[in-house]
Amino acid sequence: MTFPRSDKDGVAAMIIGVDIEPDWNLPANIWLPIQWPFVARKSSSMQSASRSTFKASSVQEDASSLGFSCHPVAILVLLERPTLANRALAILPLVCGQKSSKAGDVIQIFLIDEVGAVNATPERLGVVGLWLDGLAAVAIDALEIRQEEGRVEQPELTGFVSNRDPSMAILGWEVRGHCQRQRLAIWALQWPEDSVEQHTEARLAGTLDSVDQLKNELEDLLSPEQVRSDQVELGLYRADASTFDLGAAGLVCLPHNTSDVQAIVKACVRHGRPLVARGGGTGLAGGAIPCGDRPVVIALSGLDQILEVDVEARLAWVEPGVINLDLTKHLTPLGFHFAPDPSSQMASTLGGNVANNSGGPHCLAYGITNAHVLAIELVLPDGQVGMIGSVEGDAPGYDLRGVVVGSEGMLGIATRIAVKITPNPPAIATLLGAFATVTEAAQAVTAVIGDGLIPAAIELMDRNAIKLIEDFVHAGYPLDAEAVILLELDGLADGVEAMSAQAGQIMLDAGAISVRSAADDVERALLWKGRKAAFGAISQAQPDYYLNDTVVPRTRLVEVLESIYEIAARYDLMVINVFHAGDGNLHPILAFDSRDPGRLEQVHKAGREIVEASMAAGGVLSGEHGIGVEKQAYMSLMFSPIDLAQQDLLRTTFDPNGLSNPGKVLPTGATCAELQQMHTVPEGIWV
Amino acid sequence: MTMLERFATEVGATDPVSCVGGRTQWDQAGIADASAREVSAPTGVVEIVPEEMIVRVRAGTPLVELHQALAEVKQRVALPSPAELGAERFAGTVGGALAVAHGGWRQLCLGPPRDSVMEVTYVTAAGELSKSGGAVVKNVSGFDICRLLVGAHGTLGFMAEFVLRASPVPEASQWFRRELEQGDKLPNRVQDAIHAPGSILCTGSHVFVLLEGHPADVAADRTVLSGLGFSEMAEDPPRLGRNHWSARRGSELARGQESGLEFVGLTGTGMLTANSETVPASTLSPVAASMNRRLKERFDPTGRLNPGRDPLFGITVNQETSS
Repeated sequence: MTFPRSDKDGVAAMIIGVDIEPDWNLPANIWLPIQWPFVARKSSSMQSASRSTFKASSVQEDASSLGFSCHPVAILVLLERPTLANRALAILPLVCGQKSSKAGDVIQIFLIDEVGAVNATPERLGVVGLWLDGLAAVAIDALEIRQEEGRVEQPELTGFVSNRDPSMAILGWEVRGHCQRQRLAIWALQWPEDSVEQHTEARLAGTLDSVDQLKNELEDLLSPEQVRSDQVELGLYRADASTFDLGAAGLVCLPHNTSDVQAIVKACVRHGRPLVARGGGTGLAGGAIPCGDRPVVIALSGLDQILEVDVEARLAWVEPGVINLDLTKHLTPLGFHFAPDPSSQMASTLGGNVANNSGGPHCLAYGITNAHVLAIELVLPDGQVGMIGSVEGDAPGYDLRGVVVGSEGMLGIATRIAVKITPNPPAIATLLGAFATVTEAAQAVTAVIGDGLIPAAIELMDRNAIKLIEDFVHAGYPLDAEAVILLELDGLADGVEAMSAQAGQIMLDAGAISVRSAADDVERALLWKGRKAAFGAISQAQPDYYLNDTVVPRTRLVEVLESIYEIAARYDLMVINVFHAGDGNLHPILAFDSRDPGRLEQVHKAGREIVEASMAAGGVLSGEHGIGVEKQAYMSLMFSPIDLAQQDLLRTTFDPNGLSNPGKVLPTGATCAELQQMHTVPEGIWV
Repeated sequence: MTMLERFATEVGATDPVSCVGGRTQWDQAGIADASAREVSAPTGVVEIVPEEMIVRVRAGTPLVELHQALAEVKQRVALPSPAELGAERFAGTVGGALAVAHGGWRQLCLGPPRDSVMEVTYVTAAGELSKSGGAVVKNVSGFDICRLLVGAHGTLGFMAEFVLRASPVPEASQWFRRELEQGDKLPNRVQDAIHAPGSILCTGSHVFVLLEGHPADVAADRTVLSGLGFSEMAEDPPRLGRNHWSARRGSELARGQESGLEFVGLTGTGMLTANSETVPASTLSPVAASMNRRLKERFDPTGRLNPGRDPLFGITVNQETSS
């Protein structure tokens, strides 16, 4: 393939995707002025329909329009398979790093969008507000072409440009021109070369020496290829899918095994250098952001082997970089699956799931990750390695396994994980109930649970969500409804049929306009596709969104939802509610345009009010996304100083040096989140 | 002053103190220091919210009282009932059951007791009330200290009040039994044949299967079990033993048979029980053992909480490398 580039200096696009060629003839003058996170992937449903859609020619077709733009570099990551998302993170620096002569360049890669079968797709990731849609026009153009060729699905190719990148603030720039040039592939920023160098020097001043010593040592302990320090590579790992982008990595290490991880941790302890373990980087609370004194990021995506599946013991040993959905796919022929199904499951790793104690729609019946992890080989923050938990019954002593799951990488790094595997249900019924009011829908959820039914999942979507989803993926949701409930039951055929009738009747009694049942797997997949595409659909309405995550008692859902609508109305914000209603796990999404002056601040205020309303109703701060840097400041809403001191005691027992993922969860000191609230970048901070 | 605050005051901050429940499992986890001052957690079921499937209960509440209160709203919790443990042990308290954290027959479907603990209010070694977790079914806010306290035999803090997850009592519930033939991995065959059994117990001579759930499902599985040679039983299956040990999941029967003891195994959970004092020792990695010690040292620096108790009592630390 030819590499698309314009004839202007410093303009190039790099494409990583279906056929990754390590020896691509990249232009020698490639440089990457600012983050251009363009990620596309094929959905599973597209693979069979048009396998060649994203082959080089069509990439060329899309990417060629990049040449119309003035100066940028585009990074397109075309993900034919979800695992490529992680591989791209590992490969990209190796490809482009040597070609980049400019330190301080920053790229960010985000997985975006989702379409696919049941359990097959993640939420739209990495676009939790703050990201402007720069490449949507490509998708639209490509859609027309594909439709002419009889291809049914829209390629999910979108780009985002950060208007809040601190580098831009330093340079006094802002993203402009989206509205005027919507039909262009991407909108370009010009980055004066001299300012890059000048700025880079300032960024690196003061800390380089100590990092270099550590780097040399790690290169000896591992191999030079496993220790990455190019600014482009560091930039890749400075953020996750959350809104917070003020992290700064000192080094990125790519371990191959437990010994590597142990060596890295011990070296960090010797140098007093913080470290951050990273899985798929799909977290929404900023848990994987390198905070503090330029931590070493330990990217575990290379530890991606499913080591053992023991059907008799109903368990699998996996490495932490195995992608959630890949494990389930691996288990499918055996009649099993991994029960926790976070919406990011096609991109998030099991190590990340363990760190976040991840949930998902089907956790209503099956429980969240903690209930599915049996044992963990853990590298402690001091570098010791040992097994916690047990594949043999309950491990004696304190439940170390239980407390490490969900500890957001602050109590150690999992290098091998034994998980329970769950038999696939013989029968499934999926119901779609339509309601004239959100209140009736929420009451129906309470009624179903109150009647003694425990469905596998109960999801609720409000009118805004229904409209966006229907426009986006045509899932077959009724457009005249104010709310729909997606309810799934599983088990044996007769019981499922009976419970399905019971749940349908309860919904009708609660005021449902209609209740229909998916006739077959295709319709079931379509109904779930709608639910799981919800976050991708939101880009139809506004360029940015902020997704919150709180849990309230199910019986208080109605009043808290009313509060959320009231708060959103008061701030004149569009709110979309798509959530795990059976658990009372709210996901209100505030859609907005960060280009509007003052808008982001209003969104933050509204977000805090939503958290406060949830807490006032007896809820908790987070049901499945975790605290990370996002909700540190709210911890005191839920916990007393004594409670927090006890949590800190636990943390320092595991990590006396405070080096393991510092600046997260517990509200201590200046955190990334606090820095993020600042509108100017403090002098001297490395961004 | 609330009952919990009074309890915290009573626990105090200085002298050695033991928390006493029903004294029904007093032989577990070492020998209590008899010279320590004794305190008891407050009692009473505070609140049952059937629609939320949660119950708030104080730690000193007798187990039987909790079970009865929940039965009135047709719900249950994953804590053992009298039939499972025997009446004399069942005289214990909710706090005692969760301090020891032994489950009952239904661990296969309900999970271990600690999985049903959503929130714990406890008294720290400094005599202060602290809370971990939250009263909703899904919660990842902060570090989950509940996990440490449950099963800790009161060595890190004295649990005073819980919010527990309840679940509906199934419409249909029936035990089945079949005699075991030599060499037959019958429990595993049941696990493969039945989608979601409530329990599969094995002894040296029999396999016992609990079917629970929707009547239609139980009826369908009953046919499957009949095909495997099982028949319904009117009486209860065997009680679980006082002492526990572990096996790889799915190999409970084989490990039980190897032990030569009169055992009850809980197929699929990796748990074996017996009343013998000489059950095989459980093992722990050196790193896990050292973390246990460090946690105790940090959470109770003077060792005043339940002196003499040690969750690692009788445990073998294996020789796994920890360099």
